[in-house]
Parts: sequence; C-alpha cells; structure tokens
Amino acid sequence: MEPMGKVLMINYEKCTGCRLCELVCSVMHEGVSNPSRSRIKVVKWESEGLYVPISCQQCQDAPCVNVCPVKALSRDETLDFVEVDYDVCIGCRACVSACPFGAMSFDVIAKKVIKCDLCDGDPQCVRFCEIEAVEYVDADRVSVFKKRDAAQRLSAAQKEAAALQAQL
Amino acid sequence: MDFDSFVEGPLLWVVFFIVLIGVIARVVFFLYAIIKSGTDRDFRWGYSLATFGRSFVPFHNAVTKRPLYAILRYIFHACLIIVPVWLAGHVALWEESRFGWAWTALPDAWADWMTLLLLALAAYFFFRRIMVKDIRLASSTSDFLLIGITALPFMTGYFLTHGSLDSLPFLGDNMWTIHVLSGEAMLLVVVSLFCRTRLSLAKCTGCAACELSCPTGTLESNDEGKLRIFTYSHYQCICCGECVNTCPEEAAELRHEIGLGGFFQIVPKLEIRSVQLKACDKCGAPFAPEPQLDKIGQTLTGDYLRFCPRCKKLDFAQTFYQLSPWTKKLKTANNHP
Repeated sequence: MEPMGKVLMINYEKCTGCRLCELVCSVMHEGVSNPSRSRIKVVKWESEGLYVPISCQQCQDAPCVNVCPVKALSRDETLDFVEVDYDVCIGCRACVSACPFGAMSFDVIAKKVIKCDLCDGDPQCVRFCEIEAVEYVDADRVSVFKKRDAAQRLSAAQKEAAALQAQL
Repeated sequence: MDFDSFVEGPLLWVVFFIVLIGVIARVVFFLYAIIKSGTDRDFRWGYSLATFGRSFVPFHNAVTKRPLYAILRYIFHACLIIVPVWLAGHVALWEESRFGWAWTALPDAWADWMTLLLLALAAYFFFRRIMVKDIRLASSTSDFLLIGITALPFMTGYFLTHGSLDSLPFLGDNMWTIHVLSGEAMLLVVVSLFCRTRLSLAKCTGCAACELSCPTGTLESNDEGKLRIFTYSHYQCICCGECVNTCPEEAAELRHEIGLGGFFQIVPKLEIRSVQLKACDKCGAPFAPEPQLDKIGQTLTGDYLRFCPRCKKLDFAQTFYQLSPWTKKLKTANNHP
C-alpha cells in the first residue's frame, strides 16, 4: 500500500540555501543539471541568511485544476497530489498564471509546464537534503511537528524567564 | 479570331500551362520551405508526411469538432474534382485534342446528380456564411467570392447540357463562352489558393498552445516587448489541423485564402495576430497575454493574478520572511531603541 496523504514539509529555518534540491530535481525529471528546470525553487535573502524553498502546495481546491481548459490537471488518488496529464495538456500556460505561489512554471526547453509530482512517492529533494529542511511526512503529522516546535519554544522561554527571575 | 474562339482556344491552353507551372512551383516551394525549416529544429519527416496524407481522409484533426459539416465539405470537394475530370463531354474534348488522351467517363446521370449536389452544397455554404453571425463576422469578401467562382462553371455547365436557358437572349447564345471563361477563372484561383490558419480576434486568448502543437513550426509566437506576435508561413503549413484541434477556445480555424501575395512569400513569415501581454504590477515584466488573464479572472479572483510567477514566489516566501527570527529581532530592536 502506497503512503496516503504525505506532503512535503518545508522547514525554512533549517535551509542553508545550497540549492542541491533544485539540482537533483532537474536531474531526476529532465536528466540534466539545470536549476531553471527544477520543480522546487529556493528564494534567498542572502544578507539575512534566510532561504525559503518553494514548491507546489498540492492545494485541495487547486486554482490550476480549476482554470485548465482541457482538464489535464487532476488529483492523483494514491499519492494525493495535483498531477499533470501530459497527453492531454496543450501547453496554454493558464495554470502558470493562475498559481498563487508561482510554483507552476513553464519549461521553455522541453516546452511543457512543470510542477512537483513528488517523484512517484520518493521525493529526491528529501532524499538529498542532509539537513532535512525538506521532509516528506504524513499530512496529519505536520501539525504535530509544529506543536512540538511551539512547545519547545515555550518551555525555552519559560526557562529563560526563570533564570532571569533567579538573577533578580 | 473572335472572342469566343480565343477563350476556348489559346486562352484555355495558356490557363492550363499556368496551372501546370503553378502546381510544380508550389510543390517545389513547399519542399524547399519544409527542408529549410527542418534544419534548425527537430523535424519529423514521417510524422509530417503522415499528417499530410491524413488530411485527405475524413475525420482528421481539423474536422472532428464539426463532423456533419466535415462530411458535407468532403462530398463537395469530391464532386468538385470528379465531375470536371470524368465528365463525358470533357473526356470527348481531350480525345479530340492534339494529345488524343481518353479515359472512361462518368455516366451522364451521375454527373448530373453530382453537379446538383455540389450546387446545393455551395448554396448551403454561402447562406450559412451569411446567416450564422460568428461565421459572417469572421468572413472576408474573398470567402463569398470563392464560393461564387467555384459554383459558376458547374451552374453554367448544367444549363449547357440541359439547354434550360437557351431561350434567353444573351445567356442562350453565350452560355458556352461563360462556362469556359468561368472554368478558366476557377483554375487560376485554385493555383493561388491556400489553406491558412486564422486566429479569431474575438475568441483567441493568445495562449500559444497552437504554436506548441504545430509539427512543422509554421505557426510561431514571439514575445517582443509587451506584444506576443504570431507569425505564419504559407509553404510550411501541411494543413494537418493540429492547431484547430488543440485550440481550447475554438479560435483557430483553417480556411481558404486567395492571394498571389502568399504564393511568392516562400520563406518570410506573415504576421497574423498580436496580443497584448500583461505586465507584472510589481516588477513590470510582461508575463501572460491579457485576454487569457481576463478569462482566468472569470473563474478565479485574487490579487495574485496581477503578478508574474516570479513575484508570486517572492510574495509567498515573504510571508516566511516576516516570521523569521531575523525580522522579529529587527522588530524588537525598533520597539526598544
């Protein structure tokens, strides 16, 4: 049984901006090492040292699915992601304009739209990201991780406050 | 030599000669344009020849959207070729000529019925073009003229064989000359007749899906500044109908075009449409055709439609930027100077 409803969880605080994910993504899908043809993109603020990897959000009510004039985009039931059927796709790029996140892009070399397809359940960006800034987890686990994070921050702040109080 | 004998004598031979030269020239130009365009792109000969051949078979790409109309069109064109070539009267003339060529003629009754069928279809096409609003708006004078020129030799030929108008003063005497003259006019038109892709101004959203589907690179679009310009080359087109089949708006259609301009335009491309591109509200770079965005705006509402994909990506990353410890530190620093 394939994993159900797993998503790419991006932890931008961990990302170092090495852009290895972009490289492996383009190698996996296009066979060439070309970041401009990658499905995942890292947005950088170099001076702040902040790097945000952005990829398809696999929206439930996806704008790209709604605007597609030939219904080439659909939700894959097994892996639960938005899938492009390239036999149906005519390349009108309506989805590129419709995506609120800019995650759908047009590959001018292969002349087709590209979006994250989760590598058939084995995302290569996750496999190669050593610092685990991109993780492939069950959708319901994402909130658990966030709760744990928040709880950790809370307890750290409390400890800090207690230490400050002890000083006084 | 009087006018009648000139029309059916030397003029007819001149027309036949022009048609022969014209057809040879067109084949040469076509091969030249196809080979020339094939050098700089991955050109698939087998596929091109297959689609070229497929356009002779009913129900190929260009017609599957309107099957009934397509059947009528095929009947019309079959009659258009079969009747003049295999008509008993024409075969007899060829046998009398200096070449002495002869072939089996079509039975007279068949030729009669096919002529009537063709005339009926021509009338249908003509009135359809006038009555249906969308088609009328998309038509030019030459579209109506073409139907008239095609129907005239058949009409006069029918009257000639049946003698139904012989009693009329002018037409009765000159029907033969009118028949030959109109036939010559039709042959001359056929030589300069092209099947050209049109993009309806009202329906086309400028998405350029037709460009991607075109197997020979006939239809091309180039983004020049804030305009997306569609170009077309007459001789590269194999009339495969991929553009018609692909167009999501049903804006593309293949229609006849009469014109010597196209005949001598072998390599240069003809500009057939230009679409305004929307400039991103943030960075100012043109990113998508405006009609397409208007169409998306009917299904979706959102400010993000005004931004290019790159700016949308940045916008999304900006939300994380605002959450980052760096900005928080900055905020606290500002609060307690």
